Amino acid sequence: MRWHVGAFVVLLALALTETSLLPAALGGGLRPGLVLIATSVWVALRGMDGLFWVFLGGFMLDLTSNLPVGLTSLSLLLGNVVATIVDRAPIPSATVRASTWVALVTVVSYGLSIAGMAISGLDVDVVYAMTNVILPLLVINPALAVIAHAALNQVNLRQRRREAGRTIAL
Amino acid sequence: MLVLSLSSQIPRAAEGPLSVVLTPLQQLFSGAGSAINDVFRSAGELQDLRQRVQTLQRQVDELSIENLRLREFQAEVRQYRDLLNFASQNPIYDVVGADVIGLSATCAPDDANRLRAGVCANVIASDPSPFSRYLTINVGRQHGVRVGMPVVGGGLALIGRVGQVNEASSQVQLLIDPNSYVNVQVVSSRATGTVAGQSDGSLRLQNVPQTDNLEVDDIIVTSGLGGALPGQLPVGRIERIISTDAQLFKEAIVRPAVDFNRIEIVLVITAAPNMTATLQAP
Repeated sequence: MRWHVGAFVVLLALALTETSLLPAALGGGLRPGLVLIATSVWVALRGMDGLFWVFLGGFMLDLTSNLPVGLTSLSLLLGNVVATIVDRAPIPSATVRASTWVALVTVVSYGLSIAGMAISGLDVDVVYAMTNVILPLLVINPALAVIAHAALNQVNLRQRRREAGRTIAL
Repeated sequence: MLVLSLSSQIPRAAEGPLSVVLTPLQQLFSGAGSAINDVFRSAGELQDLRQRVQTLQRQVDELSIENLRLREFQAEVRQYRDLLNFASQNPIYDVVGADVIGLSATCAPDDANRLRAGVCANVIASDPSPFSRYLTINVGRQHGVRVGMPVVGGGLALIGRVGQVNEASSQVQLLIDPNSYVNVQVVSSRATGTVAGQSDGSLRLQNVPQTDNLEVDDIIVTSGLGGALPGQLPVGRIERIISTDAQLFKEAIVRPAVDFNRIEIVLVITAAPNMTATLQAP
């Protein structure tokens, strides 16, 4: 229970950093998807168990977004589901695997966001979105995923040890 | 998408109470971000600031002299204003057009049609989606804000319109949002058109008839047509004319009157003459 509360607070802090702190600090420029990176790396480490946090993180972003409600959380969810299905190639390094995972989620989730906006009747310049948003984020997000993986891997190992201890006790 | 549209009402209902909790947190994070930004910016701009101080000192001297001259004009203008107010209140002067009433309304503090109220707000968040340009401000329904109300920055320059209202916060659609369209007028030629936001963060003046004249540096203001926004709010200046004579309408790139990357405090106009947004139900 305490672990879940801690994870919730960290996720909320990431969402607030992404939507409030970074825009104020960096101005109106492109900013990394912190929630996308953290939750996707967690799914890469934990598998389908991590999808709950993906949805929760997406919902937090949905609250501050003017896009149709649910679009961000569903895009993130589907992005991670696609990454789970595609995750067949043998990648020896766990860090590279997490980074590739985040790159895939970036492409799929932003692509779905664009599609959702188009279906909702909102104007979106697809060429501009591809060249000026998705391509730069394909560099920024996977690069930050390396740091996220280093931190979350420690959390995951501690979590695994705790789960193993609980199993033995049972 | 069907799921999205069906489930949209439930999360929207939750946004009201959640916004009360989230708004202080968003303010805290936004404040921390601004502080970080200030540290880096002030270090980088020190040299620039020294030059600016010298320039501003010269300007202060010039403006002090100009101020004395304007005080003389002020007394004269007050007399004209009284005359115009009288004209708008007296039925005999029905021939006085709406522009004159508008002018009187904007200038006279006691006029019934004046710009009655504005709510000051701080910017506390940006839209997480890189494809839309929205800001979150810390005033909402409880402060009298409604969807469609205009939001202005320094010098009453138009920033955008309220797109969504929660209990304690609102989301503002910026002029540069790709789905933002505003009816505007060119001050010098009186030509009317539409200013549309672009994905790259610029503004494009569209739908100006070929017969109307456009010049670089012409000032663009809101036209007030349609009643969605009050007239005469500054929008920007024409930077470049991009259309040719062969096109049906003239088009131009507009340089916005405000720097959208550095908006911190805004004013929501809650009531203005002929503005329909104030009539919407809470």
